[in-house]
Amino acid sequence: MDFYKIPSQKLAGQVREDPALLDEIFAMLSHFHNEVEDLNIFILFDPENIQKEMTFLKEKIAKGKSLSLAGVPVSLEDNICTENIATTCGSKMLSTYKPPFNSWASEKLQEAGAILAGKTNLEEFGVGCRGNSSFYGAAKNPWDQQRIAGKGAAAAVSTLMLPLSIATDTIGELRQAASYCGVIGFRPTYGRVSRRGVIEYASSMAQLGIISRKTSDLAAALEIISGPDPQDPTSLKGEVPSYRASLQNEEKVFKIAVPDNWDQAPGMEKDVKECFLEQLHNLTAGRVQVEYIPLRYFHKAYLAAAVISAAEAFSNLANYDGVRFGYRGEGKSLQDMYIKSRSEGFSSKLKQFLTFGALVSSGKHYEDYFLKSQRMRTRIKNELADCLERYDLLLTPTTPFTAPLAKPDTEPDQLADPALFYTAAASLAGLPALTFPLYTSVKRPAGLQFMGKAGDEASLLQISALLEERGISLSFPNPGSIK
Amino acid sequence: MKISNSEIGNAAWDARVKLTPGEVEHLLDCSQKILQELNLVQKDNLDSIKATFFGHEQPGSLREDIITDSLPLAKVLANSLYADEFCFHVPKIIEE
Repeated sequence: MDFYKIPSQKLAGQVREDPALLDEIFAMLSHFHNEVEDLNIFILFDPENIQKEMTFLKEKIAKGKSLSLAGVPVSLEDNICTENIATTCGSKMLSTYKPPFNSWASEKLQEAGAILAGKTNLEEFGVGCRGNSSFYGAAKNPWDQQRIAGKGAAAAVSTLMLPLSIATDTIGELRQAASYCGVIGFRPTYGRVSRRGVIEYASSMAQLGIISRKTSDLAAALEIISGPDPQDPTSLKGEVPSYRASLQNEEKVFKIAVPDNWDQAPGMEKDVKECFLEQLHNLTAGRVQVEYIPLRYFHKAYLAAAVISAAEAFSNLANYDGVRFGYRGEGKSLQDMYIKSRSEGFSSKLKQFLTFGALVSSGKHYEDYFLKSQRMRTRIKNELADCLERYDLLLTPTTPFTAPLAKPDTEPDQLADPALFYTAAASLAGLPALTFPLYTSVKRPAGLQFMGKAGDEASLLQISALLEERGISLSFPNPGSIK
Repeated sequence: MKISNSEIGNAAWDARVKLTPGEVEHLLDCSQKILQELNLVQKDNLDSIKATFFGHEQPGSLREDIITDSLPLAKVLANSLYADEFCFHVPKIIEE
């Protein structure tokens, strides 16, 4: 059975009817994993654990439990805690860490009958998307192995191995990776999905998101992992809308705004620009109206986000000192041990990022840089709110370029990465955003990024479904041809 | 405003990391660049603008304290390479 061709809900129905299908799913996962092993997608792929979960699931099905994702294989990024299963954050610092608790997302997926297929590779602690800081090496792009995937989660879905991956999106890393790998990437409104058990580096922006090839799969997974969590005070209160039902709205007319200076990103590739313009032209028909609007502050978001995220990371990652968990360097005194543990346990990139965070949090620079970045954030947030009062969605490219070539670990990064140019604003303002795949003339994927009003995930899912219906989607790389 | 080598050194100490001379140089260069760009941004007068610290405000987001059992000691200590059955071990705190 080619289970990767079947929508998740349908697959779950078939598994509930005939739990023996789980054996086929297991065989298929093992086959796929062998095929894509060179891509370095997973930090942990544990067939024994998959089989254990499948046995447990069979028992639950036999008891007649209602399981909307029964047997659907899903991956979690390796910064999402899974009880007694290694959660490394792609860092030497946590290479031996096994959390004593589960995250909200893994609990919810387990309750729905999903199978944890593995823990996916990521940049160290999820910082950035440049493929040069994971202790386990970079995840490679299934479309071109010389290029980065950005996140193993996006590559896992792009290769057809999995229908769904859950990963973090802080300043847009999930959307960037989805764009590089030619899949749909979705970041819900800040607080829509509890962050309990997620090891994040910038709490005011981090959010769990979903990567998928089908809008219907995305909607089903979002319903499962959304909802108020009393243990996460930032999680949104109130009932979770039926996202699957919202996909039935086939009459809605979309009024979409595009910033008139959308092509001003540093390092903008000609192909991405042309491809975006072409899709803009194709979009403007029937139920979609597009208008250019001036946005004065949007393009400054990536600078403000770089400062704010570094300051938050400096604070959030302060507890990795080698005492309670993680890597420990030998030191003569406690201070010496802290410094050795962190200097040997973190990558060069992360050390610099944390130092920058300390710099902008210092008494001398706090007012001028950190506080002013937060004030700029207010302007960006107000500007977006004003725009989304008048329009249903705001549209830009997802990244200024297609997947970058992998660079050596030693090559330094920029602190304000131009890859964040389009994605940072939604993160600063806590808005939901979705990237939908495009195909450039150089046969590499890019993305259309839609941003919606806070709490209005439905409009994003509806536009994604409309684009799917119009056939603006990619032919995914053939898993057999990856090696 | 110019960033100095010693400021980077102090910040690295605050972050409890040791940087190589190459890392200091790169960070100095990058910090300078981003802070210059931010200076341009600050031509807009931002002083009267209220800072936003979260994507959206959630009034009263702190919940009531709920008293629950602690994690069992064995679970708490399980992830430390340097612990006995009761506590974590660290090097001596008072330096020689």
